Amino acid sequence: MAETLEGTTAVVTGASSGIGEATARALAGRGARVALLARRRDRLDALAGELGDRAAVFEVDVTDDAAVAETMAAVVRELGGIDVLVNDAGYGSMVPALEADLAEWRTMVDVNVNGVLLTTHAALPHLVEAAQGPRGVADVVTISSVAGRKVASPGAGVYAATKHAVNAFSEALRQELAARHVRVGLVEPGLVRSEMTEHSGAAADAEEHFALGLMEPGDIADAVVYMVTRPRRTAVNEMLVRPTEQTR
Amino acid sequence: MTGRLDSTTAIVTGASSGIGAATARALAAEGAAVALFARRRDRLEDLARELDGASVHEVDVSDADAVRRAVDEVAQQRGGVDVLVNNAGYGSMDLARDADLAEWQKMVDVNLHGVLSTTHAALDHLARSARGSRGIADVVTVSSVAGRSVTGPGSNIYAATKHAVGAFSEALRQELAEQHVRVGLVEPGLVDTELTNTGDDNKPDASQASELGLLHADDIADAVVYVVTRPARAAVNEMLVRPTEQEN
Repeated sequence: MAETLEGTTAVVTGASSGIGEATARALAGRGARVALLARRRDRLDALAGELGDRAAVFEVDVTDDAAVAETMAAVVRELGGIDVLVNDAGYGSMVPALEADLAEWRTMVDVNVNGVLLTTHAALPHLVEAAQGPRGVADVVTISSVAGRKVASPGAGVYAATKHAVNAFSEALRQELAARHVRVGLVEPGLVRSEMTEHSGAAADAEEHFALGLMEPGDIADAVVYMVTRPRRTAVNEMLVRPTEQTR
Repeated sequence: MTGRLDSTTAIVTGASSGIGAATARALAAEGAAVALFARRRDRLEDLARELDGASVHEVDVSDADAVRRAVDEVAQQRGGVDVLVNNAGYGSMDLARDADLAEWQKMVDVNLHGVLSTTHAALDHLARSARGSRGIADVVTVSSVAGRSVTGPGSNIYAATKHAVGAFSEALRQELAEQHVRVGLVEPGLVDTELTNTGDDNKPDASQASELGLLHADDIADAVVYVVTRPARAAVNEMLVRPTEQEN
């Protein structure tokens, strides 16, 4: 039965806020045990306190390859396997190239690309193993962006570059893992309320100008839940979700 | 029982079989009054008997005048159109060198002109409904994986028509965002339908597919229901869904 998440283990990166936090909550709500991964232990502890024995906290920086590998091993040791991996951790800095700080570009590549690669690499053998178990499938869902499909506006160059890279990786992985029944999917959100968009002012701006210009983290969490609760024959490979009034 | 689509009206083209019939059933189960469009009246009447509030409209989607009359009739009888599902489609997968030009023309007529005629006729009604109590309206077009990439030899004109539909849908989305008409595509891989199980040499063959190599029509109907039951702020613009084992 792929439709329920009872008895499954899900790993969520970037679980300390926004889409990651909402996704962890939603997966736990469907019965999954959720491994919460992020750097900010206090935030994870607070969420875990809310979710009780459905959640376990793993303080880790997704750009640290040794730490990520150790963390995945610990997840498997403590929770018994990995059925679902949600790559959510992300970083965005929307500054035109001419004015941009190179360190910001580097952070985007580190978190958005390397973070996904390291986490996925460490989880893959466990996902393949889980797909041979009673559930009969395993899932990798990566939170990309509309910017993974096209460069929608000036200032988003490197962010879009990292998300395009993630999309290419996800598609390659999908082709490779189809025969092993590991479903590989992307969710590509438009503007969502998050620390990133609150900090940049984009969320407030959208709320000021549009009635339906901003999504909530729960909308994306719901898309992830939809994907991982399909019958085992059904792989949602891509879901592009914008606020109703977002044109780009 | 209250459905999430109570007191809405949905038009489904190609409702006589496969994904269209399954979608009509799924929308009706959520409370929508469904207007069934297709050429085969007997099939539509059988389906209408099963569903509360369904109406039968014998129409060929490649006949623009007939389509407009039927859409206007629905809007008049039901007081509007909240959801349009463009599903009617035709596929013929001959290699270009061996193909019959009439088959190519038929694909363009049904897959492209059909979507254009129906959408053109429904747009005013949808925009008006979006100003009503639901606050939004929906156009969902059932495209194909072949709308995203040319998936193999023989998918030539089928892929061309589905790419065209994808471009049209994206343009429409940009134009209608402000009016709160959500525009989405569902892009299925191999589905068990009349298109795939006729046993003809020039159709994709579902008969040899494994359990995880073939979607059911219900899986796509479910995706359509997911798209049209999101909160008003969340527009699922694209959902790409393959059977778990389908690589291309």
